Amino acid sequence: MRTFKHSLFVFIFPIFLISSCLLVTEKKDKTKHEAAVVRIELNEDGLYLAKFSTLNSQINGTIPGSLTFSLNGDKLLTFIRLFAGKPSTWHQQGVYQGKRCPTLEDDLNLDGFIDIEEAMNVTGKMIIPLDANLDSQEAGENFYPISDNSGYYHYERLASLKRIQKDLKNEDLDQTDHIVKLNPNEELILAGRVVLILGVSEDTLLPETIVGLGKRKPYQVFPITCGIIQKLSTTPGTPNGDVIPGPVAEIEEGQDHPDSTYDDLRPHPIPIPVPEEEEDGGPEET
Amino acid sequence: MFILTLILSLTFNLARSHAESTIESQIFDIDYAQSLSEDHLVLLSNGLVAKIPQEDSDHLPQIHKLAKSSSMYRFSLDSNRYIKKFETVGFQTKSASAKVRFQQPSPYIPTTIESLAVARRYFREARYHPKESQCFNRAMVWTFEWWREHSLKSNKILIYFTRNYIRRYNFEWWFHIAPYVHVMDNDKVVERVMDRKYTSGPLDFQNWTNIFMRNNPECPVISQFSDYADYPYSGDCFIQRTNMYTYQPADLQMNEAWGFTKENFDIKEVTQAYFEAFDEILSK
Repeated sequence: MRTFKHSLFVFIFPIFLISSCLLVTEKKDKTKHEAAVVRIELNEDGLYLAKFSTLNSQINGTIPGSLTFSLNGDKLLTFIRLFAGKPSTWHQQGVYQGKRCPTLEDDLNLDGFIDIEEAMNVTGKMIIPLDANLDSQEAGENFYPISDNSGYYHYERLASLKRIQKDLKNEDLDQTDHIVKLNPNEELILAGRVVLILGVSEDTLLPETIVGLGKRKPYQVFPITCGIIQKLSTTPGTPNGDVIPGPVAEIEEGQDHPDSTYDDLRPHPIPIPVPEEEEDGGPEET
Repeated sequence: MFILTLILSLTFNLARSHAESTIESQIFDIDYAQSLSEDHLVLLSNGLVAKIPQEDSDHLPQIHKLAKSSSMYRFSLDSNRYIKKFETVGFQTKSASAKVRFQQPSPYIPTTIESLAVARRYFREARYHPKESQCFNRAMVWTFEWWREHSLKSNKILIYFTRNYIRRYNFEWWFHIAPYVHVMDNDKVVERVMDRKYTSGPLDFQNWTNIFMRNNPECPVISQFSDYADYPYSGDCFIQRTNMYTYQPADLQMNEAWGFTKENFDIKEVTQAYFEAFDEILSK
């Protein structure tokens, strides 16, 4: 009996092992497929928006701006606008690992400012440099936008989401810099990530407590705005209904009358310059 | 009214394919081509969209540099709005009246005109000049003169054309602005656009936007500039209401950013408007 049972075990166990392996392999394949499906589904087609909130407003005042992603299959269109930053200023910008923007609560040295070190304690390191080429971290070569004389800039790039994802899984050749790849088991999910914009003009007075980053000087990497990427389910605007928004005046007796505020100013046609008449030479005296 | 509007809209479309032209303006923005089949779009501060063909991308860095300057430029455009050449004209300073308000401005209450007949009378009084001029200058002169002659507190409406729409139809503007008024009609106050350049009388918002939009979409109403600026790829158009003192979209951008508000006409802007739109000088 023992021998039969033993033989049965010897016979059945490998089958069990093989079938288990098959099951495991099938499960792995399914997991891989599911992972691929999940990866695609993690970033749905559509619009993503990160509205910027101002950091260190005592330097720049309020700086409105935003990042918009438009994702259509593999095509990722990125649009950034920033209004009223410092003039002619280089702005490093990127998507970071973290999910939260820094606040004054993160001012560790209590100097009243959030510098890049304090910001990155919260945001983590940069994963997508929003520079001249988004398809890989190196391709854009750190070419970032420069604002115009009014402090405005607009940035727009088209990239392949697959190429970005592939690059983020490559080996990180420089683990000492401020740009990192994703962890092996981490997926790139756009929604929820932090976008940070850095940079003020060189002549901006910053306290000595503000630090730089690598070879970048403090003014070059001074955080100015931050936003969290959110998937949009609606676009702005409402249909124009029948109800007029805002106050509506009553018709008043005698409301149609001239106003004298600008009585002293009247329009006149632009005078056409009259050409000077040439003097008549006349006959020479003899 | 419908037939007249149709005729005028056709005229507008025909007028768009004009011959070579010269435009003086600052550069508001540049929309770079996203594929080899697209042109680069240069959005000018006067609302016009000029173009640089893909094969001429060598000039892009130069144009890009111009965009960062506050200078005025003279652009020579061909009949398809491609930039043939450009030169510096001068330096445009910002309006001296721009200042930040920290207090809540007093509410702006537009006048209600007693009837459509009166509104039409005001409409016919509005100056008309056949020359090509900037919409914001025309709108400024019209609203200023209605205020001066009738104490009329009117409004202005902006229509913004998205980058989607501009590229799809090779459209030449990114915004257009015109006055609108509140009018009593059949015991109800209605809004009517008074765009003397493109219409023959007061029009409701939909009929007015239909003049400029193909397929007559309903343009969503937005209440702040960023609702247009942050959504460059959404829909075809947006419309925004504002008061009669607003000159250009920059005023609305500053209002949203810093609470910048105008409570009077800026005489520098009005003077500029008379000069550009009607070849007149406003003076004592």
